[in-house]
Amino acid sequence: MKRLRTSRCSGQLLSAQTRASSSCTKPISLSLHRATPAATTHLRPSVRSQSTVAPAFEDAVPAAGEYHADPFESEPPYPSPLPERALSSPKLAALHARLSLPSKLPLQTLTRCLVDPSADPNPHFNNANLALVGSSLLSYLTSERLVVSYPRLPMAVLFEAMRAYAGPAALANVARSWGIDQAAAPGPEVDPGLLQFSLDPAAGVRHTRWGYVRKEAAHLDKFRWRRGLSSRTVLDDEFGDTVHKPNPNPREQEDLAADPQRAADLAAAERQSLRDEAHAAVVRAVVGALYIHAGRDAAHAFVRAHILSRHVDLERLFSFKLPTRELAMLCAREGFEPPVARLLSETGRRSRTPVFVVGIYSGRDLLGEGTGASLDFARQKACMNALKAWYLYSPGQNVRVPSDMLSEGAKKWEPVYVDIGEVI
Amino acid sequence: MEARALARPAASFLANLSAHGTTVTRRSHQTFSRTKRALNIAPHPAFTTSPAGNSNTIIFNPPAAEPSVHHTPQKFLPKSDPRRKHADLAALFASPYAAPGTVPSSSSTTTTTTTADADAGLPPALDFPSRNNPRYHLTREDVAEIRRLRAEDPARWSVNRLAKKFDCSEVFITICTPAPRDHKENLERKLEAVKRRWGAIRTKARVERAKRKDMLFRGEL
Repeated sequence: MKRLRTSRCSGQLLSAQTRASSSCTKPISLSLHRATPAATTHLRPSVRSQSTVAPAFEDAVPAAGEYHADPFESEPPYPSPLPERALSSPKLAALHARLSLPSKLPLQTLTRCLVDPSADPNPHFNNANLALVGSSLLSYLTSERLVVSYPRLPMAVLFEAMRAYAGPAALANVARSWGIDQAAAPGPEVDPGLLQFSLDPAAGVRHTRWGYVRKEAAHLDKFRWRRGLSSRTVLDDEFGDTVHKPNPNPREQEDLAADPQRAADLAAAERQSLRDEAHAAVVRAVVGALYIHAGRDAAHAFVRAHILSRHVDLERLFSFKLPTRELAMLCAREGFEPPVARLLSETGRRSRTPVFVVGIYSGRDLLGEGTGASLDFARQKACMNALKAWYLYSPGQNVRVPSDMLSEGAKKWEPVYVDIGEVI
Repeated sequence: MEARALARPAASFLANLSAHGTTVTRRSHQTFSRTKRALNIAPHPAFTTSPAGNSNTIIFNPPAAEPSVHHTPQKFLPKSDPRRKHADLAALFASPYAAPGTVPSSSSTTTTTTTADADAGLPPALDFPSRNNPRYHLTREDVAEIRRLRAEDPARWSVNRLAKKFDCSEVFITICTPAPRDHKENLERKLEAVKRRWGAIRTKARVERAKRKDMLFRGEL
């Protein structure tokens, strides 16, 4: 067995921490110049380092002749490509340029953003830690923008709006629009510019999700306990979903065994969610890496340009049960005159396709208009439009958010509008 | 019986005749140039006539479209909003039916004016039951009476009949007194029997009606 010739290593490598722990919970350490891989590989002669200093690697990697005698050579030395290969990947350089990333963000870190923990469980070489930083930044910036711009949004709609901006499916779309391709299978030989992840649900480790696990989490799936909306504002994650992985019901498993078509559909959905999660983690990791390398302002500008600038039709997230009653209660709560439905115009009343335009008035003020093929539908629609107009009130898209105060020389903070809450 | 048997083939023959008559293409009285001239509609006068005096005028003539829900009505603006604070902006966003010079206030609870005054110039109101002016005319004894009657003979004293007798809404009757369980089950059984007699067309129509209602509330219609 070959030994690592420490005499060949430069002083810089020797002074760096040589016994990095292999625990997955270790936080990101930027000063790390050399890390021993996981316990199973610590006897390998080659050294994998996460460093932005290129010459140091040439010292660390043994000469080509020594590799032939390596008994471990038959199996790949590492699960993901070595960081120094980042410098020679055209795909990676193109991605760096396409996103207009600052030169402070090195290509080695960008490679690391593209390695999912399911491909490489070593936390020093996958994007898990960067993605955690990025996801907390993303949810903070998205939620403050939504809450300040739409202060009256109901909580359920706010959760869905959060998901539409910063949810896994939305971020996966962003990653695909950046032109991030996935490798067919993860491995050390693939181009570092390709996203690497494993579709095997049991492979590697999963991303950590930020949120509060409920005390009764074990019983939620078993007894189908109710999760109220007000408890979701405090517990659970930023989209109002539970943090723990849901336990499948054993009876449902039996049903699935009997229905192969449904089982196949479910498996396909599971694969799609894994794929989306891996793509989304890249976006989160890039945001996190930008925050660490280039600072807060660059990360905020990046999120504004790539995430918050996307158009989400908030109007379509609403769903009502009793719009007329809700509007009447709103008017009573706010001290407006009770709403009255009035017929603004109509055509073809006795025909097969009539159209009625109904307006909802409070006193002499028009609150909402709706069209429909029957008087009742038009009235309900007008009520829904009036309610949407109430809930979608916005003080303007250029209102300052709390994070704007972090920059130097910010003007004095003026309190934003805070609404008293939903109607029903 | 005889007359119907005779009349039926005659009617179908006539129907066939008329159907054939419509399928025969007849030349329209309008020539190509006449049709073109008829469809050549002059533009809106706002586009052609230059405004008198001032030439720096913006012509705003948008096509008819559904109003956007992102245009918050004046009444829904909070007091701190600049659109409410500045008088010029308030006038710009005011309702066309508002009396001149008045800006709607958020706390106009006093509705003492008569309905004829208030409705002057407004479009006609739709006749939907509303709880705009509750009368509170039923007493505690009345409610006890409602409960007694309903418990006595729920088949005779239905919700509808009680509402008519006490001159109140059906919702109020259901709030006062729920139906006994066996009566409810009886009604459900009756409804099931009625539904069982429905054919395929009516069943489908009912299902689609429910779907339309769901789509309406989700804003897809």
